[in-house]
Amino acid sequence: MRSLVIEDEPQIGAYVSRLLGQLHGIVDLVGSIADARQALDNFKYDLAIVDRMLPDGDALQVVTTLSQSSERPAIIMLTSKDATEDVVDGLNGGADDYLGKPFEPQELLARVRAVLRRPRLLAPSVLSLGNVELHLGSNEAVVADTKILLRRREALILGALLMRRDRVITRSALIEEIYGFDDEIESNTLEAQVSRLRKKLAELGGDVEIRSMRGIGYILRLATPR
Amino acid sequence: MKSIARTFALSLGIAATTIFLIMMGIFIWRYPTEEREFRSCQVVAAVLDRATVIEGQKLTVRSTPALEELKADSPNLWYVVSAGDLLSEYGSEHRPALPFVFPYHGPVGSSVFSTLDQNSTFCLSAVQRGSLRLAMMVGEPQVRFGRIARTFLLRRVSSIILVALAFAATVAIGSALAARFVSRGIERVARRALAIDPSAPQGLISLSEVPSELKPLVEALNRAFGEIDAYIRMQRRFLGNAAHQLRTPLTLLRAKIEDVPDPALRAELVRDVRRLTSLVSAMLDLARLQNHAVEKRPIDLAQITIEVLADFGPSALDAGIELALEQDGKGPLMVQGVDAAIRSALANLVGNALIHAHGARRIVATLSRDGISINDDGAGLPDGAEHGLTEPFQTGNAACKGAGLGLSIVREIMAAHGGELVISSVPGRGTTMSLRFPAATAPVKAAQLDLQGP
Repeated sequence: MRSLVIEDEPQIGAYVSRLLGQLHGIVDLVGSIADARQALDNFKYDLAIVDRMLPDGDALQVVTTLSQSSERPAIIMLTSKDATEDVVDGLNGGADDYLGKPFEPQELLARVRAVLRRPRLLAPSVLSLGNVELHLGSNEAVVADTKILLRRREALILGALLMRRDRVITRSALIEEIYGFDDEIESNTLEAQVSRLRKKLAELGGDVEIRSMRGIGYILRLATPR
Repeated sequence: MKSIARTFALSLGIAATTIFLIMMGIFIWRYPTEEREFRSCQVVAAVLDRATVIEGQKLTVRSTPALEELKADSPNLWYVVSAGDLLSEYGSEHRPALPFVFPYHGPVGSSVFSTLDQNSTFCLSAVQRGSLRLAMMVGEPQVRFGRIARTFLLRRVSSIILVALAFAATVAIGSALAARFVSRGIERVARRALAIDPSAPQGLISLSEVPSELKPLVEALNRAFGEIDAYIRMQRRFLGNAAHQLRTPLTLLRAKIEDVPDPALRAELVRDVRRLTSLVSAMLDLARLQNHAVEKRPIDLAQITIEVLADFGPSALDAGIELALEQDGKGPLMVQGVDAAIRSALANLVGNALIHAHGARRIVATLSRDGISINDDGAGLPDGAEHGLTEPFQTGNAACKGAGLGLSIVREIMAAHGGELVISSVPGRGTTMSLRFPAATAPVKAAQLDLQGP
């Protein structure tokens, strides 16, 4: 995998390159639109991380030409211009994602993974946290090396929580993910299912916990805080 | 301060009185000759009448001050006073031939007659005194102006007062109307000035609506407003630029924190950078809001609150604080606002509660029709500290972290939405910070069933 980082602030550029290096691959760093065009003419890239304001102009033009090329890389714009209009401009201009500065390194990596897998439309088959693993599509989970077959909804809930580990998923977002259009949702159904799942994980010695936040949603994290 | 109306009425009144008096003087001065002669005749007759004493068969004209004055003023004066057959005469050498004989027995009254040679006039006046009739004929008197004026004023007092009152009334009404015109003009300017938005004092007062005398004042006001507006704009631009420029160093800082080996220290530094970032974002959102770079739209306060609280979920768990949301009813709570700015304001309040509420176990957000309240069960603020808290660089406790800029930005964001930040605190029982919106409306049923959306 080859990535291009277009960023004029050398320290940030080096940092982003180092982060992307964790994804195994070659990272090229350029600091101007001219250099970026030259690099793009010479190599085929899978990913481009683009800062907007460069010494020789707005890099949105690079994004636009890049997104229209036949073998387009995945493009994430990483910039301090993050007003709603800027984000809309960027996404309409051809970017796959848009992230404002300053950013959380984990978030950048998560977004990179997301845009890279998007074209294949294939989610990873296994999600895991701590000693809990979920095999997507099979309702089969492994908790502390013990296999367990979850109910369909429980598996969906665990999947949604694992996807957003360490972040809160709002109740309404969770409901959207696990219930169909025609499903009847009793007011306490979700709570009951979550608490059943929680109990199952605890019984098998799972080292993760599902915390409820009243009126807000749920969060899955490692049981012992780091 | 002097009242314009009072000054106006006073100076106008003085001017009018002066003019009135001058006119009176001119009128008396230019009094028609006959009339004047008649008046002086009356004056002289009165003087003589007072000086004349009749004792037994003797008629004497005493020397009174008024008579002496008359004699001194009139070198050619002559007079004849008679009563029955008694007679007293003065200056007979000046007396021309008269059309009457002495003693006079005609009717009571006074009149002016020509002498026989038609060269001069004389005054004849007859009054009844007891059983006798006192007749006086006077020629060539030089009566002082003051005396004529005095008798004239005494005799015409009622009509003069009437004219004076009419004059005064005219002046009073005129000055009142003029003062009202002026004060109306000032009121109009004041209303326009009050209608100007203090956070963007442009629009200015139209010069066509004000009296021309007020134009210099209005022009000066407009210029001052213009300068204030330019200054405010400059400040806001600076705020926006500063917030923007801060992002690059913040990003670098965040990157370098990854190299900190101690996980506890790293987590703390990450939290601090996050807080700083949310402050910078709030500054930027405020600058955009105040520059009208963004439009207010109907937004769902309930949705925003849940999302902001969800963002803070992990930090709350790390700090061992229970974070919860209570809601009067389900469904959206629509307000007019700018999404990003409201998020920033709310994030600052929640972040504030997490960091500053010492000993808090619970932070509860409550959504109601007024807006959002964030309540903690921490130590609370010392008495009276609520007011100073929204001033920049004020924190509840000298030992507290943070620049104290957050709440003043929150206050500004709320002000730009026509709402307010309300802080109430009970020492030892916790603090409640509320974002109040002018017209948070009840859930709209139809909005929940929007299935057409993407």
